[in-house]
Amino acid sequence: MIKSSIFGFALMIVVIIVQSTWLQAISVYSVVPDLTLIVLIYISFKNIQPQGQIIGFLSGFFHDSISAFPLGTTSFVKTAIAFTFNLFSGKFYIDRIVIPFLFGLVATVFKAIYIEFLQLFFAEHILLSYSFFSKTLWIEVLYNAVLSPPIFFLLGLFQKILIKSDKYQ
Amino acid sequence: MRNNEKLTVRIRFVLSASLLVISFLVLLFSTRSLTGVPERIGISIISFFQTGFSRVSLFISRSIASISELRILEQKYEELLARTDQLRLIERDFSIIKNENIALKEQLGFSADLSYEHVAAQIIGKDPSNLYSSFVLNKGIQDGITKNSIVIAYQDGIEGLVGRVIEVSPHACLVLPIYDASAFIAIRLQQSRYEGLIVGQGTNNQNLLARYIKKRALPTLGFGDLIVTSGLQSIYPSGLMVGRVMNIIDLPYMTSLELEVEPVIDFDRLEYVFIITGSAAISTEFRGYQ
Repeated sequence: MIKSSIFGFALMIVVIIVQSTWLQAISVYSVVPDLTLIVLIYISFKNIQPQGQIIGFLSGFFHDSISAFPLGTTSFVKTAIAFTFNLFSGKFYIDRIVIPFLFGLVATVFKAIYIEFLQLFFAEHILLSYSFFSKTLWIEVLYNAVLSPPIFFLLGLFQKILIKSDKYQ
Repeated sequence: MRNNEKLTVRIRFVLSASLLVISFLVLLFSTRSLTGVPERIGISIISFFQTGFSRVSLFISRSIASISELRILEQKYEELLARTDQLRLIERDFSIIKNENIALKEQLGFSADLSYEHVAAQIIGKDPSNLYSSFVLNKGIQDGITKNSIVIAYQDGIEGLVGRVIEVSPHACLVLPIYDASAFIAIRLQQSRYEGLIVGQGTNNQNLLARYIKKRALPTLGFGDLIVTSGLQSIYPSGLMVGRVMNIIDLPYMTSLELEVEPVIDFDRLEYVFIITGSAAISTEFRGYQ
């Protein structure tokens, strides 16, 4: 579990950096896909043990340090998402396209809901949340959903190091 | 076997709950500015790698661009040779006009432009989330940058406001641009002198919104009017150019006017900026504009 968590965490850090640098080139209406979210749901779903929660929690702090998000926001949101998807772990098999697409879509909506939940505790100028009527959210939802199948496929190539062998896989 | 499964499920729940509580507590502390050290450590580590990634992409894009640039350069070289001759003549006229300009400024009582300390910085990374629009610069505490330092940029001869530093580490800093949804700037209309507050809309594809402009300012307003920082109850010094009025919204049920403002800086083209490090004021509201 420790080994796969370390690899997962390292991968998340690389993805955060890529997301903040290179991915800006493929932004649509200034919206970039959240690759860290896709990687996280893959790890959380594929591992029966709580690697996803640990990776989401730790990488969230690094994410917040280079973002205007108050420190702890992404940690909370990513831990909550990892927990949500970890609950489905081992419950059903996933195919190559449809389920990853739905995972990317649902995870992004969950992200918006969790941030909205956090926003209940803070003033609007301290913590911004998604507007469910803004195009920003729905472009990101679609972007993440479309990118999930190819990323799940790519991550499948590194399954041995990202996933602890377990009977539920 | 069944007991093991139950134990795993219990561990999952307890661990997840603990992590959620910790991150929520950190969030509570960080929003009340009780901490700052963990963010600084994080930005230090990440910005190191961001610099590397940024340089790689810059190298690749520049290499590709340089091939096409070579062809263009050859053509331009020929054109420039022809223009050099023309410029020699213009240069002679320019020195005459320059001297005349200095003399006129003295007569009008304008002081020479105040110089303020600034540091040039490059954007090495942008906010990985879509809710905020912050970006990371490659200068930090060691270059004299402090929290709330003002960031400006020159574009096409215009000096415009970019944003302010919200977090700083030894070698990098995080900047909140004026178009971020959490950015608020006290502004003044350059011509009519009415005051207001500008808020960003979260993306550089949308104009800024100037709010709380008194309705009696309406007859004095015009499209293209310049908006500058007012310097009132704000960390921004007065006179920094923010944008131009693109649309005036006067709704009957609103007690004040709303203006759509296009920033003078095109953030899509922004690569390099200047961070004001000294406390010197901005000298003139027209620097480089008229």
